[in-house]
Amino acid sequence: MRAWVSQGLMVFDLGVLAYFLVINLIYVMFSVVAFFVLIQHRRRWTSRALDVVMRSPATPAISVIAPASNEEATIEQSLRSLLLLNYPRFEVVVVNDGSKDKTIETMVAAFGLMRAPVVYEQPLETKPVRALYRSLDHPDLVVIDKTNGGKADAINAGINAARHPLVCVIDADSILEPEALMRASLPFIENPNTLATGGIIRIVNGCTVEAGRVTKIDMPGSWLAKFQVVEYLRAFLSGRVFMSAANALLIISGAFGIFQRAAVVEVGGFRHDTIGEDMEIVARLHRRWRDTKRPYRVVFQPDPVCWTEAPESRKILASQRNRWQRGTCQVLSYHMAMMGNPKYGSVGWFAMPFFLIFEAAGPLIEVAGYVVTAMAVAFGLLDVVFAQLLFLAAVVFGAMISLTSVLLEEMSFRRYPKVRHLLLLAAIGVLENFGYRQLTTYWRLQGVIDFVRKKQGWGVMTRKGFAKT
Amino acid sequence: MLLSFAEAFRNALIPFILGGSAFLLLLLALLVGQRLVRAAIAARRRSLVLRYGPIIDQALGSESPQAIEAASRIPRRHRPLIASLLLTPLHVVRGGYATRAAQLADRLGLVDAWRIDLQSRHWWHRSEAALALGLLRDQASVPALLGLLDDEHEQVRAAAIDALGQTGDPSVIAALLSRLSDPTRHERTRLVQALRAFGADATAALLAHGASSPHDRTLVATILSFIGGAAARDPLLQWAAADDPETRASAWRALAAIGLDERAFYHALKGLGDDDAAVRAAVAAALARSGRVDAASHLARHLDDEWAVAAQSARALITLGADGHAALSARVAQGPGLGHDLARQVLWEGGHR
Repeated sequence: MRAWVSQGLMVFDLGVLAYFLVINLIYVMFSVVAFFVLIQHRRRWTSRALDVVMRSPATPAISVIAPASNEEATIEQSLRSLLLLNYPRFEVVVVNDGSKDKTIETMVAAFGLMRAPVVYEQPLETKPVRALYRSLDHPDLVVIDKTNGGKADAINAGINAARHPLVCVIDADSILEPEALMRASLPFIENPNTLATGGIIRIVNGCTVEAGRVTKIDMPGSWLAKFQVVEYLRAFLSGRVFMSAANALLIISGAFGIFQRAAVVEVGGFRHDTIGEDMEIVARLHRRWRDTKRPYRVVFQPDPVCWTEAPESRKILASQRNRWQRGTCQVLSYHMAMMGNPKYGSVGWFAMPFFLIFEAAGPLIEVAGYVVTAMAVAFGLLDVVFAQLLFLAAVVFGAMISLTSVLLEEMSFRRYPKVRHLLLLAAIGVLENFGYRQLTTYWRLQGVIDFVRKKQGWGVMTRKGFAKT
Repeated sequence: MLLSFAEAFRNALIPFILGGSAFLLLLLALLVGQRLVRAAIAARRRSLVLRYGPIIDQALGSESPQAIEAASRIPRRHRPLIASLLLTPLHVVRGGYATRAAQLADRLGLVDAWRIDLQSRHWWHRSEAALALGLLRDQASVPALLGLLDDEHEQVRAAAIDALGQTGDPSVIAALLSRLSDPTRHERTRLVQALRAFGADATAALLAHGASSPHDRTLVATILSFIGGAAARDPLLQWAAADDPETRASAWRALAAIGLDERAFYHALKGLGDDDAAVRAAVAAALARSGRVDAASHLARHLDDEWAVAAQSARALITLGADGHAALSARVAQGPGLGHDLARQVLWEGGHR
């Protein structure tokens, strides 16, 4: 009996080991590909090339859609930053999604908004629009006041009101860098078959924000936010760069993405019944264009920067990770027909299985690995030294991948100005394996459980406002 | 087989951990090393500033031959730093200091070096040289700077515009105006700044340019709204009757910024009847800035015009004292409609609920 149990545990442990090896090797592959892609990107899009884009009459106009729900603390600064974007032709459409605070009053006072008639076609169904405001001081600012319907509904209302062929969806509490729109729109100019692009999201906690601009970059004070800085670098600078190169990008962050308006309208807009609406719309675009055999691209651009506030409390971070995990599971379940299906190209045979095995099921496998290994050690079936060596190997591998992301950041964009930032980022790459990683795995596991129990809702997310950062 | 695999795996773990740790240290050394090199370069610069700053200050302040001699003994390899020490104050200081800085820069051979750099194959050298020569008001470089207005690089073109504005030479205004037709936003900002430095000279040249190039009038009017004075009012009133609605609207926007005199005010009342909504909206905005209460009854008729006109009229009325408020209140009392909503909103915002 003991031999059977021992054999079983060993097989399970070897399975977990294989999982661990494969995921880390995939991340190594991501980093290597990202290295070459980033070098090529930097050489290609010089300021001269950007100048050509700025001067070209063919540069497409963009409607920036900012859904706002109870954003009283940050809305004025965010909007000022948006209106100062460096782009030839754009409008800003703010959608006040039934805020209960003074979001709308703040905007009316700050931008001299005046009510205007709602006279545009509304191809996407949304909750009723209560009023539309325009600004005399800023002719390219439109504010829509509607009854609460959730983020996806607000984005759809913004898409309805958008006048331009490209729509940029951002969070109203995010800060775009002045050249972000220009850099993010390049793929659409380069290739008209581009359906969507996303930029890099960076964490604003600890930075100095003045007049809607990040004027001094620093590391966050909170350790939870520090860990997220490295997490974001890893996810964006290696993971998304690779997925984009393979035209298998499944996520364009809800905090900053540009879409062809006509394409989004064609697929019916953002879905209301999911909490992963940013991933879902991208999956649906892939699916529709592959089904209809039309050429297309979904691209990640590494240099348009969107700064966003990261949660600094465990409760809020737990809620965010739980939501992301449920969103991933939902989207995978909606589009299970694409899973492993060669008809859907790199999305079908790589991106979807990757997300299923390493993102959706990842927490289950990791937690099971911890539990079974602990049991095996407790029952004397596994050598303690071997278990320790395994853990150490995982830490070294994880740290290598994190540090490679920091190196990619350093050789490409070098946003963190001080040596102590680099040392801190490197240290975080090691330290995150002792507690933070296990904590996020636990929250993600809870997300999987909540998904199975069909729990809905966004959980809590409160903002401090940039003035305090 | 499983056991042998597990054994092999176990045997590979220690070399992997050691190799991985070495790789980690190498990455870390690479990251920190390149930053340390950058930091060392910055520290060296700071120490040179401390060493040479007083020498340059003395040479510029005292004009004594010894001080100038001491400055000219600074090694050539440190000349870029000396250049920045000389030029930085020129962004805020002019007059005698600028003249002495130009003489010292000439003595140190910097001016010649910058003139050569205007032809450099590196765009950043061309840009820096143009900015430096502009700050020194180097008249001899004007022809070369005019050539850079057509440089392939935006930064160089923008620097040339800046530099030509700094030279204060009125003969460059025509060349600057020739850039009006196709400037990027970036260049336009610089252009307005450069033209502003010429004051009344630029206003006359802008009006002449607008008269000879009708297709540039929209842009010229926009620039006049920043730098135009009373002399621009009559030509702008003529443009306010142009065939092109965009020119008419721009002319009214410029007139709003400059201010309306008696004649312009009556033209504005007539302009409220323009066929184009953008023009009527610009006229309403101009009337708002006039502060003339006798405009109230005219503006009140446009509270149910197209939204942009109606909104500008409502905004104008709230600034026109009791007559304006009375017109808005009357519109509220009339009942539903666009004018009702706008009037109620501006009254509410103005505290006249």
